[in-house]
Amino acid sequence: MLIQKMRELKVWKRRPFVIFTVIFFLCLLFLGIRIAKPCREYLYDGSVSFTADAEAGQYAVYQGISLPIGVYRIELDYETDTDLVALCNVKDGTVFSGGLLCNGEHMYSALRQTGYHMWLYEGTESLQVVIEYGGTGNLTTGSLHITETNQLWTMLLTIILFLGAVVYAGMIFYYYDKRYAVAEEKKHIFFCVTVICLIASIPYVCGYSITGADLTYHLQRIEGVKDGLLSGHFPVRLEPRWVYDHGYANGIFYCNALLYFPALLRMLGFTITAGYNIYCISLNIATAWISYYCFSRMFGKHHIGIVCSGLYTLSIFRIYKLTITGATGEGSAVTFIPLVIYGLYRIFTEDPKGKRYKTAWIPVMLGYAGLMQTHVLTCEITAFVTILFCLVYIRKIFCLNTFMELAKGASSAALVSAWYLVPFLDYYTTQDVHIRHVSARTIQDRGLYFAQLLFHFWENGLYTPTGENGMQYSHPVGIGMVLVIALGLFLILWFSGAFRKLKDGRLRFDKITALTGVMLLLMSLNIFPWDRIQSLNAVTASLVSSLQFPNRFLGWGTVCLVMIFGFCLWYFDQNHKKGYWIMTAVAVIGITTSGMYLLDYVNSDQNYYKLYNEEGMGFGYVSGAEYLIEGTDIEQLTFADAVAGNGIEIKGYEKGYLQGELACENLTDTESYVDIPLLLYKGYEAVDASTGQEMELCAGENNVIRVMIPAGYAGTVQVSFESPVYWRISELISALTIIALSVTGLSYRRKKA
Amino acid sequence: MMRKGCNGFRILLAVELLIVLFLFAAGFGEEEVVCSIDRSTMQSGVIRTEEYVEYDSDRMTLTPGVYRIRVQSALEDGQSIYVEMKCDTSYFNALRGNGLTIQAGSDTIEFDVYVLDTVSSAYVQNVFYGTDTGALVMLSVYKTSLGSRILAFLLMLVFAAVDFMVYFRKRILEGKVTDKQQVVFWTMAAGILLAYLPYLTDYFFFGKDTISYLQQIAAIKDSLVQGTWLQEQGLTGFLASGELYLLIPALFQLIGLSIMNAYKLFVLCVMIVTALIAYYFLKKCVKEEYAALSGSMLYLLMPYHIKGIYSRGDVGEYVAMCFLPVVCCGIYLLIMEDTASKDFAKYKWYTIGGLAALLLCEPVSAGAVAVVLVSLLAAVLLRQLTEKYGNRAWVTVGAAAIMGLLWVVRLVNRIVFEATAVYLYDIKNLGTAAAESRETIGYQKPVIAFLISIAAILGINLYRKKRRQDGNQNRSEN
Repeated sequence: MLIQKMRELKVWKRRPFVIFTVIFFLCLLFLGIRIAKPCREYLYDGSVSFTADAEAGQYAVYQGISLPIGVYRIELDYETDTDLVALCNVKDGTVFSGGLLCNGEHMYSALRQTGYHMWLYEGTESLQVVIEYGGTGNLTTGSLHITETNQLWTMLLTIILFLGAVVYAGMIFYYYDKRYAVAEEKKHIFFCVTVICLIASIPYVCGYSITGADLTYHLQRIEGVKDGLLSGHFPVRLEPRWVYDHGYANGIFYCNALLYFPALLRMLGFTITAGYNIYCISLNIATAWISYYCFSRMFGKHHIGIVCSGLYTLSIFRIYKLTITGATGEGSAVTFIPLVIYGLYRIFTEDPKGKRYKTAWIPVMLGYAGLMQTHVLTCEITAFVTILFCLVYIRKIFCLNTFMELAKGASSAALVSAWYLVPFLDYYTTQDVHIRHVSARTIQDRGLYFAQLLFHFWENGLYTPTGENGMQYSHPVGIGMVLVIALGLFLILWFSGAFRKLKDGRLRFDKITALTGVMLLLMSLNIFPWDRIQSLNAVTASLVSSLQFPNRFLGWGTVCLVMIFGFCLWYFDQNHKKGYWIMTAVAVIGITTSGMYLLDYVNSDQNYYKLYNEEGMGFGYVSGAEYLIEGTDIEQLTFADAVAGNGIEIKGYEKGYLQGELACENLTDTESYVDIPLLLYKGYEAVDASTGQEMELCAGENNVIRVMIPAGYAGTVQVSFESPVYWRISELISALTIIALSVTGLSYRRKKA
Repeated sequence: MMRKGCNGFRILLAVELLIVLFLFAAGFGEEEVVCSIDRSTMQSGVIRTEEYVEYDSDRMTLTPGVYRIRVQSALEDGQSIYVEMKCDTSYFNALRGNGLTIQAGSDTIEFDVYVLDTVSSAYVQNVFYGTDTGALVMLSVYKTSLGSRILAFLLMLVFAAVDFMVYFRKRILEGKVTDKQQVVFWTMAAGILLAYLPYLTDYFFFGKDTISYLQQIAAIKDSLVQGTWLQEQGLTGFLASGELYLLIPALFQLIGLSIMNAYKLFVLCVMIVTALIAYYFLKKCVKEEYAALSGSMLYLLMPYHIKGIYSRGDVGEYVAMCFLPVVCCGIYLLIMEDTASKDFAKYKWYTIGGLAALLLCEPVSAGAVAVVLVSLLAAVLLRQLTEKYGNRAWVTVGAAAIMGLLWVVRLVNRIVFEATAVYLYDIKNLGTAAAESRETIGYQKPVIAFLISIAAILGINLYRKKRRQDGNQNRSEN
């Protein structure tokens, strides 16, 4: 129907449309030609030496370099005997501020060449390559090789395509509205939700990334996906450059499904900061619209959906996790929680015999799939809450239709996520990683104080609140007073019998939601006996310890209380109009003086990073190192060459991402080895390049790969990471499930139309 | 159905009462020795460094309760012992207590430690400065019965709250509580919760004057325990000292609560009383629930009041502020209400009672505020006074004004009389100048307190007498 209406508009015959299309395609053509053009290379010769006598400072090793605008790769040959005492960077005082973006790269003894990107937005004739020398160790620089890349043009192409899509959508909407008059209500919805997205995205449109404790960790994840894709691995299981090119199994334990988007942006030429900010803006848009959709469907009123979307998207907990802490995984998971509660609402309140009931599993599937593939801990908490609801509605579970909807939701989510779940379970059960040894970590001292639940005017803060520093200068960890007011109001109305006259089936669900919210808030406090629960047995110890922070329950706490706020609005809308307007005003004032106040404070007060190229971040930070092989000493890991055992002569060595090629000879008559600087995760294999014969692998020094070289062996050994067959099968299952669900969904919509 | 409900409630009450009584009875049990250290036991395990000597007692298991550490020492000047109960591992905040530094002159000293959950590896750390282990004569750890008493008290509060809510709900469902009354109740509860927000933690923080009040509370509690309360100053002196209200937190401490929790509970009580009194008396004046509620909440949540509690910690003042609305209400009713009405005779007692309570809490500042308020109210309502009572109103106002003026004159005289001269030309010399000055202002609290209260009582009675005489005269003329 919609497509037929749009065809009738005959937009392609309208003059503005034609003019814009011509300009658009001309731009695309120009960019296409520019991308197809061969890239230029610039070679410079020279050498500068630094010894321990030299003073620490910045020295230009090459200057007067002339380059047009573009994104370039800087490769400076060097030799040094010390790690991290020198930084190679580019400098130009003649371009406009922001015209040259680059963080440089530190120099390591095992590497012979830098390899970082710079973004030049203005042609220059005075570019310098500088060394920031730390004053210790020896360093000698060699020739300089600057390679132009296509990334500036691919980035512009992406921007043009996006802007083009926006303009086309705008034009089509304009003509559609002119002819068919789009309902005011829909315009109102679009406007309000867009404003919510804009407000939530303010910290991400400033050209930098707000610092957070977890930010660099998640930026490393994005870079890991990018590097994995560039090395030809799909899906990316091990991040190849992490831990100084040793590879890190973060992608297996911490699903990176959503990070393919910012990784793709990085591959298209966006800087780290730009790629991350665009990703966060997309998350804000997704959260606002998903929460609007879910809450408006649950309450049947678009204005309640808008208010709840605002309360949820601009909630204190979400801002704290995504913006202040930079916990991208958990911040991404928060996007999907409303889908789960919406699905549960439909399953437990709708008539099981109704026609519409057969689609009730879909939001559950989408929500769980999203949660599994963004943040497993939030998924665990979601499962806990779901079990609670199922226990309360235990009678309904015995109804076949209800049971089927739950089963369909759970199983389809598992199938869609199989590509992640199978490797995760495989590694968790067979790989001795550090996360399996942290069950002694206690969490109760990281719980909140009761006063934090009633806080309203949040500021940035300096510390995670613990049992020692109290709430003084603590981070804004809480739920917001506005939501607690709604909970209090709901409980008061319930207490005073105001609901006795309500016959609506939703009331029971909302009561359970309110009680669940209360319970989750309690579980986030430091008075909840987490230490006692942890000491019960090994299973509880592991589960509790893995939570890390009791405040994780505030994610579900927020969604429950937003639901209760929506219920209060719905109730007052039906019974007390004045109360409805007061509640709406409370929501608006609450969001303005709490969420927006906090965002404002964050923007003005918190430090920020301007990160452009991956090398500027380094490759060593792994947060708690949960996914390192147990017993690995992270301090000993740095860029390294292959290390030969007794009697081994290395004739050639080349290392790539998650692979290495080694030409060697065993001069002795006993077995020996070569250590390759890759962490020995399951999936690596070594073969002889000529015969294809498999060679034995075991753990070497500090858990790196040790290839056993038989006596008298002479040849080339290839070491590489290959996903096991059953992982590939799981990927196929996920792909087929997604295709089947999409096809089924499309055909269902066609039938309905 | 109703009878079933009533029976159920009675059973609940009975069970609650039994529990509380049982716990309360258990709260007067004997102390049990848990651990004892003397010079002879401190032979091994002593750590000696250049700066201090340390001895940790054997590990012991402590079950939930209140433990008393009693220390007997023989210290000379310059020597000290730091004693603290610690543990190797425990559940979060299971062991709560402060360490204590014992100086020379304190031969026997004791302090309490609170254990909220079983601690299996507790020990007493003793750090000796300037001396050796010989300075410690005896250290004993006792398990007291205060834990049962605290539990009984807290359960009593919880049961009272639950019973009240059950009863309140019953009345709501029966329609005996109007919507307005419910709004008032819940709004006041929310307002009190908001005002109390800074103390909704397991710690608190000092205002400027908090420490001195805590010391006074502890001193009253110690005197109650030792039976020496009122021995020094007698009841009149105690009342005149303006410390009557400190009996309440002292009693909380006597029950077994720590000084911090006793103080926090006292603050909560003061807030509840403030809100209730303000609402009740404002309602008497304005005769409308929502108006009285607004006034009460404004009064409770005004920044001066909040700052007084948390930033200044001026306990006397914020307790005195509970009674300010009583004084104002009394004056307002005396002036605005019909003298022939049935309740008119009661109104003066509001002012008298309020003023007396004010003066018993914080004579100077609260008394000053009360006098100013009384005078202001009278001045503002002068026209109505003169319309109603003629020139006699001027006498009352004048008397109040003269009283206030005399008080202020005496105050400024006193300041000049007692203040030490300080010559300060450069701020950098402030350190020296501060050392030379001493406390500048002294108050004769009891004298002023009684002067003002007597003057107020006399003034009002005189005024009433005059009015009655006029009334009789008018009747006889007619």
